[in-house]
Amino acid sequence: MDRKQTRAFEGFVAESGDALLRMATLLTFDVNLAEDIYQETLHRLAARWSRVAHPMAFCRRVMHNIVIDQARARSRRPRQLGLAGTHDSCDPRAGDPVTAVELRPALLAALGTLTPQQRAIVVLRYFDDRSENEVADLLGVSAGTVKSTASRAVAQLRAQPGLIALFAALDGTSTTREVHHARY
Amino acid sequence: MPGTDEDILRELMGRATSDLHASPAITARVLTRQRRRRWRSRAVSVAVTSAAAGTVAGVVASGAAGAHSATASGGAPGGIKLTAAQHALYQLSSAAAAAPVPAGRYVQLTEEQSGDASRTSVIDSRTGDVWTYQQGPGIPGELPMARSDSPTQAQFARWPTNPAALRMMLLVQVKQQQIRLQKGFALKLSQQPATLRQRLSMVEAKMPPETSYDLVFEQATDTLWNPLVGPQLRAALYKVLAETPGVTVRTNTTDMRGRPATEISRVDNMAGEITSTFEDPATGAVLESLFVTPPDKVIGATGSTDYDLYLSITTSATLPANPYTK
Repeated sequence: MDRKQTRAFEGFVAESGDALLRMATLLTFDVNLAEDIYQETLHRLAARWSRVAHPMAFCRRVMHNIVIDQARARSRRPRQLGLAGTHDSCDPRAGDPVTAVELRPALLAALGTLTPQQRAIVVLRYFDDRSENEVADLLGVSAGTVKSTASRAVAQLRAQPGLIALFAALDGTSTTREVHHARY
Repeated sequence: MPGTDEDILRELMGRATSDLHASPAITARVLTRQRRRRWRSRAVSVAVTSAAAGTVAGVVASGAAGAHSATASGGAPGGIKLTAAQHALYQLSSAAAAAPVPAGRYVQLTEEQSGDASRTSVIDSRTGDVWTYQQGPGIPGELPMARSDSPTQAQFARWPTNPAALRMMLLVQVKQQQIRLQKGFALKLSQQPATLRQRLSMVEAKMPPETSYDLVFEQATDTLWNPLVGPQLRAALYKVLAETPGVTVRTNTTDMRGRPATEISRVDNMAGEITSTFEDPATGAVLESLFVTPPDKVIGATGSTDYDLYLSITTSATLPANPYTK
């Protein structure tokens, strides 16, 4: 990268960095691991910046590949993962810390019950708002597989003890505070 | 209000991660590593195409024989009064020329970097293969071995030591890479989201062009850190810097560790980035590199300060093990 490209790279990260980190968090269901994966993704993007036409698509694919690789490694050598991440309460950009911090453990624990592929499909479809065809293309499966897997994964999540109350609270006229109360 | 289970899940994922923000320090760390790689790819590409570079250097050397006859002799320009900055750089040049050549095939460079990272690079002086071991928060302990990632000691020894020819070679190195990179840049820009494309276009429009002095300074200072650079080439690099407008020199200062140093710095014309390098006045070895990037409100980039602190250089006949796994 020359200096102009460095600026472009910084611009991309300023625009998309938060979304990438959040996606990594949902894919890994671990805030600390997500930071590592986010950083490694940026390293790989920076190394190929001049040749990557669609940086966001590139990052999605890289993240997915890293998560799959790590899941395989974990299956060979089980490792205990922490589920709750740290929250910087001094961060002036923090949106709704009560909601985010308190919802996160339940959601991440529930996502952790899915297979890596199910999790990737759910995150790409419902967090990243990718179409079934885009997800299928990214993961190298058919659109039908994406549709059926997503459907099963959502049903599985909905049945998770930590999420039942949240789904119920949000499936009506709930407010943030009511969601919080439903959780606890 | 969410309706279907999918909508609720969408809402939950959004809310549960809404307080997570990517640290600018991670971007800075990525760019620091990229800067090092940028230098390596430039230097290696020219080492590989040494025939072309040799031609350019030859043309420059003969063309510059009259205009730069004083500097071509290797010493300070005769009859020309040196500024204090030039005088300090010529002193560094003399110190570097007298420094011993490292013996041993494998050169081990230990560094401390921004973000509490320790790093040890092992370079095979014969093949240019580089092993990188790291220790610190959020970074992998070992990077994949990079084959032929650095010019070899022999390749460095073939670089011109005539300052005018060396200056032109450094410029060719940067230009070669810029041509390669710029080919894909316009295409990439056209494929970005509209908001980002607009902001990047604004940045490009307001950025003044990078001058040849910017490029030479950048490449010269990026070259100096490599421990495979021999005494004569190192001495010539300081002479190149002495003839580069905009370079400021501060003597009798110290690096971040308090070691006596001579500071050489320059503000880049394009991005306003300040690059400083701190040299050991006794040997001409680099002690610290410091990069200060100003914030850019247009693209939303925060400013950053990154440093590489060079702690030790040792050599050995055999490949050293990862020092952080002992």
